[in-house]
Amino acid sequence: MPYLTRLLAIAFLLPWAALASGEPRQLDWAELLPPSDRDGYDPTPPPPIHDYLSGEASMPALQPMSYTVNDELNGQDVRIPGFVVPLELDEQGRVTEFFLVPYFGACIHVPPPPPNQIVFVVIEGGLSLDSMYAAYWVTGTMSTQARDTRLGKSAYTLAAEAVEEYEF
Amino acid sequence: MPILRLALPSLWNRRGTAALTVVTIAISVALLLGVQKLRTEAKASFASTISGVDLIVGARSGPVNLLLYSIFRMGDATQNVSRESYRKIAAHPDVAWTVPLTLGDSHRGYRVLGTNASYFERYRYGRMRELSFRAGRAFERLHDAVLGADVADSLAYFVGDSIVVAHGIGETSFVRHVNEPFTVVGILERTGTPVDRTVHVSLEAIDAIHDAQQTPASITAFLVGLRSRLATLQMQRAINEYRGEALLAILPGVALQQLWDLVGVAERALMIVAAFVVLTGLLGMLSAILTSLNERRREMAILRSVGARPWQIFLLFVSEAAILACTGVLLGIVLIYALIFFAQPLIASRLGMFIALERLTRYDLGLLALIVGAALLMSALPAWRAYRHSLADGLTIRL
Repeated sequence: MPYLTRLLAIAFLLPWAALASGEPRQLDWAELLPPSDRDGYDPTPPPPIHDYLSGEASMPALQPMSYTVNDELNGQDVRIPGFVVPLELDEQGRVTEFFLVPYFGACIHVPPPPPNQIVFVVIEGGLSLDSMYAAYWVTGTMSTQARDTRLGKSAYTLAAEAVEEYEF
Repeated sequence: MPILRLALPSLWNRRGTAALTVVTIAISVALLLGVQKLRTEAKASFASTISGVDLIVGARSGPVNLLLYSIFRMGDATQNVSRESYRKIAAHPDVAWTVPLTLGDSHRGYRVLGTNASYFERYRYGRMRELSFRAGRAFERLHDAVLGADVADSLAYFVGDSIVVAHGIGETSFVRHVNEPFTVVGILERTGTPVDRTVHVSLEAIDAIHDAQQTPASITAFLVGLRSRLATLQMQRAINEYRGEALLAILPGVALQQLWDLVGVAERALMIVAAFVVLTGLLGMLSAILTSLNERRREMAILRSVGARPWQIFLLFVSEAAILACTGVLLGIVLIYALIFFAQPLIASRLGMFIALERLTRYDLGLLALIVGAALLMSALPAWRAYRHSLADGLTIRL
């Protein structure tokens, strides 16, 4: 009898479990902005500046900054494409912590993306990065963690489960 | 199984050539595994050199160059960083800690690094591993020095010894700061990083021996830890845009990856060479089997006369190749492990690279399976010819 009830319970719960572990939500970078900020969003990277000697006001000051995050994404399973800026490497040279950014070169030459256009990714086991110029799909659980920096009160952290190369 | 039982004695009958073939394969396999091992270890020792640092800041040059001179102690800085800029950045509210680094002096071929005591607390290597002392303590007084494990071992220094620092970075120098001898107060545990080959002294000591009146006080580079990792890119930007001085801030992870992309070319070339050596080994096996074909026509005829079918003759040759390749691969594994075991201390002392005796990785096993597979595929050629012979020859052979 207990065997039968267990079987019944499994049979009943199975469809629900399948629903819960459904496909991760595919994200566009604009969706990382809170809905109110999305209208003026310009996905093109800011122009590079190289004339450090001109003495004019520096570019970062001109860059419109949006600090708030889209709280709706907290705890969601998502899939998002982007470029990898390695932060921490393990003994085998695999990247274990990185920033995922919407355009390549976000580390130098051009002003960095605003804080809500950067995702801090932690990946168990690491990612062996063949080339920094390749883009990747990152799948995992997104969280909007509160962090106290001068740049904003919160930002995105993604616990990655899978990373695959992006096919252009 | 009966085919294997035939193949083994048949090989034994030609043990001279068979042994040579096995040795050729073994050596090529050992070379391939050795290159593979060196390549992963080199990458690991690169990757685990620095950890837990958000930014490295130096004079404006290139990311790889800055990483090389500040962390790997290779090459030289193009320019120094003024203490003023250093203080300004260190005082920024987003900055949690900084560690100054000054290079330019040496002790008997080992670089002397001027820093402060926070270096021993903040420096991380591998996966956030901290530096620890094998003997003694961090420097406290002006003329205290802390040695890396390699420096202490190869020059046979102990805590309490007195050393003289020379200007310049050669093996010897004719400008020695003799009137400023240092006392060894601590020796660090081995890390497998350039820290092992460094003599650490305080910044003030570097100033003292260089007479700070003549040169404006400056440092070579500094490490930055931020309160939040998320501020990294903005901070990097702010430093790169800093108008007071031409500075460059790099993310260590990015620079390490760029460095590896550079070194990766040589690494891939090595791997290709090793692959060709393996191919040569296998071709050697192929030619050995092919040349034996004619001599063995009679053997085949006898086998046919006692009832062997042509496909069994085919299998006989394939299994012979399998035996040669497998023995070769196994011997190659034994060879490389023996080599690593005996060469370990030498490589560690000469190249500063510690090669651990570890199990074969899945990738290694894949390579080995590929070698055996290639051997089997190659053996199809003599096997097919033997098969044709056995069909045509029957029992009447004219050699």
